[in-house]
Amino acid sequence: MLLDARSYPMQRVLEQYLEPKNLAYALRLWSTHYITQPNISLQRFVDDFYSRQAMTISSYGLYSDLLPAMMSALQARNQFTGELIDGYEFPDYDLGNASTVAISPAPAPVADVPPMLEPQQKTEPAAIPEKSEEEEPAPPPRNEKFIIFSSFIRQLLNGIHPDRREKMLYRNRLEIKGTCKTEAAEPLYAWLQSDSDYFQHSEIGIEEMTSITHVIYMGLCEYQGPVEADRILMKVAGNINDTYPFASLDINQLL
Amino acid sequence: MKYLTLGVFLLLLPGISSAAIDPETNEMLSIMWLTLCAMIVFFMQSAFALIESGMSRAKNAVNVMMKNYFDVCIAILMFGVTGYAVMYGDSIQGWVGTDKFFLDGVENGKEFAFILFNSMFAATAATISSGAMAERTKFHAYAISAVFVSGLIYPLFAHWAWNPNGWLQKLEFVDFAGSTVVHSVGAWVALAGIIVVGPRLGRFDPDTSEPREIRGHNLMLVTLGGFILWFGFFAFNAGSTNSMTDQVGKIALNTAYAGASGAIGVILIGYIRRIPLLLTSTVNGSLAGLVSVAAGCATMEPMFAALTGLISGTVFSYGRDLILKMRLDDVVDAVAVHGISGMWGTVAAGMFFTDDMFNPQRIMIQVFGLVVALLWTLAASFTVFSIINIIFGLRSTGMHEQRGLDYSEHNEIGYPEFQKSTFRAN
Repeated sequence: MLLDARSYPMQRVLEQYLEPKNLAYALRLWSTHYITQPNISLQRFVDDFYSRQAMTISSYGLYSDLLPAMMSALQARNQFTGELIDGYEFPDYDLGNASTVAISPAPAPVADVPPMLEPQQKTEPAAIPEKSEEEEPAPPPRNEKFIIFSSFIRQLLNGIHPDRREKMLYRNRLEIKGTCKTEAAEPLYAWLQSDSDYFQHSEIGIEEMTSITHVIYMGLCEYQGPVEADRILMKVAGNINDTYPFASLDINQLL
Repeated sequence: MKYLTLGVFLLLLPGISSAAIDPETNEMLSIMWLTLCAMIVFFMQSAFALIESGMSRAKNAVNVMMKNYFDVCIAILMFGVTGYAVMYGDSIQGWVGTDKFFLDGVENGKEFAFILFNSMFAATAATISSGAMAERTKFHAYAISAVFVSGLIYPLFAHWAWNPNGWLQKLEFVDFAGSTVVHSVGAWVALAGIIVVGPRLGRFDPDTSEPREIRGHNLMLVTLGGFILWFGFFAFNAGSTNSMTDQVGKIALNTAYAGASGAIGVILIGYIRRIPLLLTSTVNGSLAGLVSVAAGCATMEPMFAALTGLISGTVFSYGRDLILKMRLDDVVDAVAVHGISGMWGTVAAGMFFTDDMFNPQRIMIQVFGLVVALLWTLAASFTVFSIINIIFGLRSTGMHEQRGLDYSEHNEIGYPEFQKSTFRAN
């Protein structure tokens, strides 16, 4: 079951895009050459299909869809191997490197789970809900710049022990909130405190991203020491550059 | 040529008394001696640059070198503009010199050599703070501070202690080559500087206040710097005779003994305290010995010079810990080497004064003198740094500090082939 779970999330995404022949090839490739490896370059995996099949979707689009699928697959892999995860991790791209310490992600927030109904209530006919699209507008499509930015900041933050990370964020809260407009400040701060891997806000541009990076990096220096902070920065920047070699956002722009 | 030959001969045989030579020749020899010593003391600046750069991270190597190079330029000129006048001009009640600004009225050949020699002392006092404040201080802010140190702060105290009419001089305060006048003054400037500028980012853990090790990038530079400084100290101390006398041999010997025993003192105390025997500490220990013997190198016997150096190694070891406990970030331990060891050396000069050893009155005068130096220098330099901080900002931004001041201040790096950085160069 767990073995299937290492490939199934990827299959669900890939079957939307690939012809059956190429899908089989892709899944075989994933099972034998990617999921078994400590370091996974999703970009390379995606690039493989562009060399075999004419695609109607951009590689970035496919990449974005595959990213959460890969995370599910990796979680399944960790359960399968029983590896203990502690320290910090660079979640998507560098999972088993010997020099990489990892932190198990905190359990996802459960606030959205509806309360259990009493048995008698279950028998009552349920009203047919309105079309959900009208109630909850679809979130805006993921933006490449924000994917890179979020990933970069999250990986930097993962370099600090969770307890100290919380302290660091609290200590620098004014600086963090001062990096962007008021509308974006609170969501940004909330995101930094969460374990989510993605953040996007219309009021945050490159300039704000740079300022946020600086504040987080300064916090990292303060809490981990300047030498360790540099090491983490180099590692994370290297990961990002390896993972998004042709991205529109150069990580150096944030430094 | 005649004078040159004679001079070289006398340099090789310093025991020969200058009294046997006619006054004109003696004058020429003195000029030669002072000029030569000034050149050697100038060479000490390269050693400061090597030590400070080696003890800093590679990303700040150029900045440290630049500060050392530039503060010499400032100090030499400022000493001519105001420093010499304040130090050796006609004294008002022993407090401050009032003439010879811009070297006005200086015509004597020996006086020019004397000014050159003392310019190098001013440069030494000014450069000590650069190492302590390294890796986070703005270049131009530091350069402005060097103007005040070499043009006012150092010369004024030197006037009190070394001008024949200085009020401390009249109390018979003994500081032959500047344990307090040069080294402690420089160290207290550094102390004020590191208080105002604050520690390097991440030097102390924000939760536990424990210091974090930030290692220097090249200990070979540090060692070479230590050797060159030691070499320079021979001229620093022996040149303070201002002329060729029969004291020169003993002064040079005392200098050598104190440097050697200072390093041994650090090693011994390291064994006793069970702390690592670091190369940087050993070099600093010998420098502490050299600093401490400067005050009494002409007035104590060689074995006491060795004892002074030995104790200074211990004083340095505990002094460095004291500075760290105060959460002060001194990159090169300049305050412990030049300040605290300089204090000990000044007291030792009173304690081990030949034919008047352990005279309480003399010791009290020594203590009084070093306290005056501490109060004046700390107050004056704290004011200067605070004003600079308010007007220009003394400290680089956090990002500049982490990028390295080589990038942010100079757009040059010391090791372009080897330095890895994710940062943009500008």
